[in-house]
Amino acid sequence: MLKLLSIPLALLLLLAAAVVWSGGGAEEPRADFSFISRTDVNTLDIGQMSYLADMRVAYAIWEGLYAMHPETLVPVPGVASSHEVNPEKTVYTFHLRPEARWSNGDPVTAHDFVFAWRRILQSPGEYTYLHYYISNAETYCMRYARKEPVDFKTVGLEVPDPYTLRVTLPNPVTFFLDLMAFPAFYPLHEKSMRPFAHVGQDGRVVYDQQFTRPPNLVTNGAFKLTRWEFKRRLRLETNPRYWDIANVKSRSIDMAIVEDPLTMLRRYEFGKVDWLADIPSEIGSELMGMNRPDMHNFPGFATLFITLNCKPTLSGDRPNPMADFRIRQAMAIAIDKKTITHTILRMGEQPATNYIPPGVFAGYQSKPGLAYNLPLARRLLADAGYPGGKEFPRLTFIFRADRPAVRDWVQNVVKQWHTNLGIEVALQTLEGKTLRTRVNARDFDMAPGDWTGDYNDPSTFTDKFRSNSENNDSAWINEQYDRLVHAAASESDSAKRFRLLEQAEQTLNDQLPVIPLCHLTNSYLFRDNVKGINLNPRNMTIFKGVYVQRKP
Amino acid sequence: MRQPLLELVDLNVAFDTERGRLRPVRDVCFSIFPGQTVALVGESGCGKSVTALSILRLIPQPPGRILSGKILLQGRDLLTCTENQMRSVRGKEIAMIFQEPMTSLNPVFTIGDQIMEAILLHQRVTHRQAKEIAEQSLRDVGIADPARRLSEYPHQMSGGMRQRAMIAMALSCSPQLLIADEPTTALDVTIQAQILELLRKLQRDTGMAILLITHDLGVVAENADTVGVMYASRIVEYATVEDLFDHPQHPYTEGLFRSVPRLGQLSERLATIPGTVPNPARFPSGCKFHPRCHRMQADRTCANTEPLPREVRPSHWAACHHIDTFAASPVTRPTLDHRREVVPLTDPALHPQQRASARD
Amino acid sequence: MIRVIAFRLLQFPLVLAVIYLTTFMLVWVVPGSPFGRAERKLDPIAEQAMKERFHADSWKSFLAYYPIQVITKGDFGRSMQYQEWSVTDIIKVSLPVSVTLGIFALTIGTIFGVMIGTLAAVNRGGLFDWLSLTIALIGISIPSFVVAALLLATFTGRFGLFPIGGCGGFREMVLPAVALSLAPLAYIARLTRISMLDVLGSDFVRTARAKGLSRFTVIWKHCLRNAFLPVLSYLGPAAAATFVGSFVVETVFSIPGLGQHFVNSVKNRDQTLILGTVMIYSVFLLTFNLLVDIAYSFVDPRIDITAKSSS
Repeated sequence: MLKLLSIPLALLLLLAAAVVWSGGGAEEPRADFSFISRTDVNTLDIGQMSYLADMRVAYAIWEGLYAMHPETLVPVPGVASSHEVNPEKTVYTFHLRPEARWSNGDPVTAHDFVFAWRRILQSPGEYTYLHYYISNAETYCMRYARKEPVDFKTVGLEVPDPYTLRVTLPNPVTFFLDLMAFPAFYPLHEKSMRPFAHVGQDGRVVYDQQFTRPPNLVTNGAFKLTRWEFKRRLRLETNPRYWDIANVKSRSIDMAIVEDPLTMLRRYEFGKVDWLADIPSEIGSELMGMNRPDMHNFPGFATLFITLNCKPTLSGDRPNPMADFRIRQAMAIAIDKKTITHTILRMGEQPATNYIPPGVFAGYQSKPGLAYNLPLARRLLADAGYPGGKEFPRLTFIFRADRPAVRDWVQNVVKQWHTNLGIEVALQTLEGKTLRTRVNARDFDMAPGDWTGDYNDPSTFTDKFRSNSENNDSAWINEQYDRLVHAAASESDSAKRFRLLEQAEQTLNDQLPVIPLCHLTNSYLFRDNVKGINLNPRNMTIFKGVYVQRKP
Repeated sequence: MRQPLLELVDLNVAFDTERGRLRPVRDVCFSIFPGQTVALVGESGCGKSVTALSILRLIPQPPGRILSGKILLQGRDLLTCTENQMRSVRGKEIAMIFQEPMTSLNPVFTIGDQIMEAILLHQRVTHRQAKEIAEQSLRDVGIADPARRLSEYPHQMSGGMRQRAMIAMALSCSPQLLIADEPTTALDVTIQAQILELLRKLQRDTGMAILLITHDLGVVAENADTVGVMYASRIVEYATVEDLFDHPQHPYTEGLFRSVPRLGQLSERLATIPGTVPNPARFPSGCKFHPRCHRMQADRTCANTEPLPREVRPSHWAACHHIDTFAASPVTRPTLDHRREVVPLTDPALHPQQRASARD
Repeated sequence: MIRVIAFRLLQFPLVLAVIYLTTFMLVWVVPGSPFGRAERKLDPIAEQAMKERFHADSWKSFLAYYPIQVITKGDFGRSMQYQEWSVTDIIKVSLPVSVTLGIFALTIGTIFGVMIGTLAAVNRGGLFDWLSLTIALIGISIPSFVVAALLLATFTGRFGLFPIGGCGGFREMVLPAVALSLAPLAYIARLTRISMLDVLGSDFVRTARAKGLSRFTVIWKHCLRNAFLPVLSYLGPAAAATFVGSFVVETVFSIPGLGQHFVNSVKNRDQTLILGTVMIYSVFLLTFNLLVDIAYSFVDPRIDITAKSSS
């Protein structure tokens, strides 16, 4: 019998020997700074970018007219060394610095910006809408999409000389410089993209997106992309032609893509990477509980809420009780949000009664909304015609099946409504994109929602609830809100503008088309020797200033 | 007297099963001399196959056990050999062929492979030489176009040809003893005759001995030199073939002969031996045959005491209490060196049926 | 034989076309758009422009453009989610990884599975038999992500034994291959055991022993080949499934194989990638089934696949 075991044993020994003999794969030289991103970059075409992971890389390899200061995240001159603006704040003139260079040595000119911005209007992406602040940009975009004849010269862009760019806006935009630092406004190097151009069936020039893959990609930022292994890693190295290279702290950056929480944590703990940028909730709450010094948890730029459908009738012609704002208020103040943040989510979130995360916009003061108040909730419900929740129509709460944290808090909220108000809400799980389709069609009663800001101005939050906004999932129409937001859009004085927006937000917090639950936080894992990582709510890291202090 | 090639001395084999211990082979003694054909005849389940397999120690040892006895191959006790030593006996000094040639050959290897396997195992020859030997053995067993047959698979041959191939495989290393366990039972009658004739011819050519296991008395009559009749795990009668057929001593043997139907004889009923073969788990006490025996008398000897084989006629042993004895012979071990001349089938004068009828 | 193979190969395009069309229909029936993020609605103009770029604004335009490209150039277009990469690029980069891992895993699974099963049959009722049945039970019952996570947690990082996931050299492959091999190993062990038990009682085993062959040779040479047939039937679909990658094992060990794309492409409604991955899987499945059928006739000469009638 034992003799028969000889073959399997021999094979096992062979396998063990092979393992020992093979050693690890040949390791390339370790980058100065390495981190793990949970998702791969979806696209590096700045016109099409929308995901955080993409933008993180974009910040490193490109630079716009203005750039974010590595520490303060305030817009500072980038490609543009200075600018002038007219008193009405509607015409910006940017002066480009002559020493700004592309990675292949070509100078960065105003034409590069115009080329990129025209392209984003012709091939619209997620953030094309930011360009609508420019005169006639929206019109141009829509007519071009409908294949109507239209001239780009109608758009408010002028290039008096290669190093000057003039932008005309119909209304003042106080945060315009911040926008100039956003990837949607970065320049593109047309000459290197030309080999990828081809003429489509309609006679229009389209660029094959392969131009973004190294070695084809030419960029003008602090780093250049030297390697992109699909779904494995990205490698960035300093761009020797960058005009401010003296201030670039690391020579190379490595981004590895690891989806599994356990694996990424292990890699970090064994010192293979310096920074975990996206900490999954599966391990996040546990890490929080351990009070580790290398776990950095800080307020974020997003709010978690419950989207309530405010239409007069729901799908299937059912009358919608939530069309009455008193019911919405009752539902909001009947939830003890502390249970949710402190026992379910546990990532340091604070319960929220208002919509915009406090303290993220300098000079903007959100006032708190309606607080938890059970007696008042019950009275409101009774006043609206459903004392004790009797005969309250049965509504359905749809949510994503694959996020355990979401499922937990939704169930908790529904239970609280039942206990505190006596109303029955059914639960229904849906797959991610299916849920999105339902919400887009406004075919739902209530659903979880969240909103992350895009740029450094409260309007990135308030625009969502304009009655004509695509993203107004609640289908909430409020004249006063629209009026205030519209007035703010044409107000050139920042302080006055903020007051208008504050009032608009107050209306929102009062009328509650969504019930704010909490303001979300960000979490990073990195050790003391990592410098330059900004704990800014906007979750932006300017790699120019990041480096690891290695022991000499 | 010359030395027997193979001698079984008081062989006892047991099987330990859930139903208890079975003893399929009890106190079996017989011997085979070089060039002889010894037949072991009996009904199914009497222990003849187990005896044959025990000689090569092919009984699976966990349930099976050889309790006692000796198996002497030219004086060497096989029961004391190591497994390695046994492996050089199997196929080389003693070869065995089996009943079902289709299932007894491995269906996924060619005939050539299987024969050459045996050759290469026991002889120091090259691959090519082995092939030639294999081809020759196929020719020796009368298979036409042996070179082609070597690369054929068992399922591509007929039953008779397969059995010839098995024989070729068994004989490829020139064994001294061939054990043939019911070699023709699964074949039709005409092929039977051919195979048996082939065996006789090979025996003449090589001088090997044959242990022939069968239940067919006709086969015994034509091929055996000496015969052992087995009943319920014992040898109950052992004699030369002529003496057995002319003067059967044991009631069981008598019963067997009587139940063979005769041509030309009218009878309303076939004669049978009353009763059935006993269940090995519950053998009767005393003489295993006594419940079915007409010789049993009022005294309880048959039921109490097991009769031992005694020489009741010259060179003729039987195990029964009620036989006229031959000069009050002591109990001796049966060793019969008897070789009769092989007579061709076509001589009707010597047909066993007629011999038996002549006795009446 | 050649004729049979050729005939089977001719059937491939028909089968693949049916699979393509069925998948295409399913893809268009399912709600959800390939473009846009989960928590906000994409600007309709942008969405329309993106769809037009991908010839995906309606099922008609999709059908008018893509099948021709597939047939004439083998081009499945660009992935809608990873827009820089063509589906062929993605497959070219990830398939070899999955296939290597799959081959490794299946080899381990088959070799050790067959051995464990054989030894269990030989040792029937004994300690090894009980041990093998336990291993088989564990292998079949424990979900792969548990096994993968356990292996990762135990064997990586410390002592520098194995790297923490990733892909590249032989060492990186070992743990994921082991994780991937457990289920097939368990199944193959069971199959082999039963088949071997059957074969061990065959008459030709007795003949082989009577020839003087050792138990070792009889089992590993004579019995195994006969007992292998059921395992061979299982290997066909098992190979196809293992080679195209396992989502779970690839995620845990950060292996950029094809498995994740099967799942993620559906989640992302990435129509072009879905079709690409489904086609690859189908080709694998068809090919492996054909190979298994051919292999049958080599392993067991009684089986003749050229026979006109099948009984």
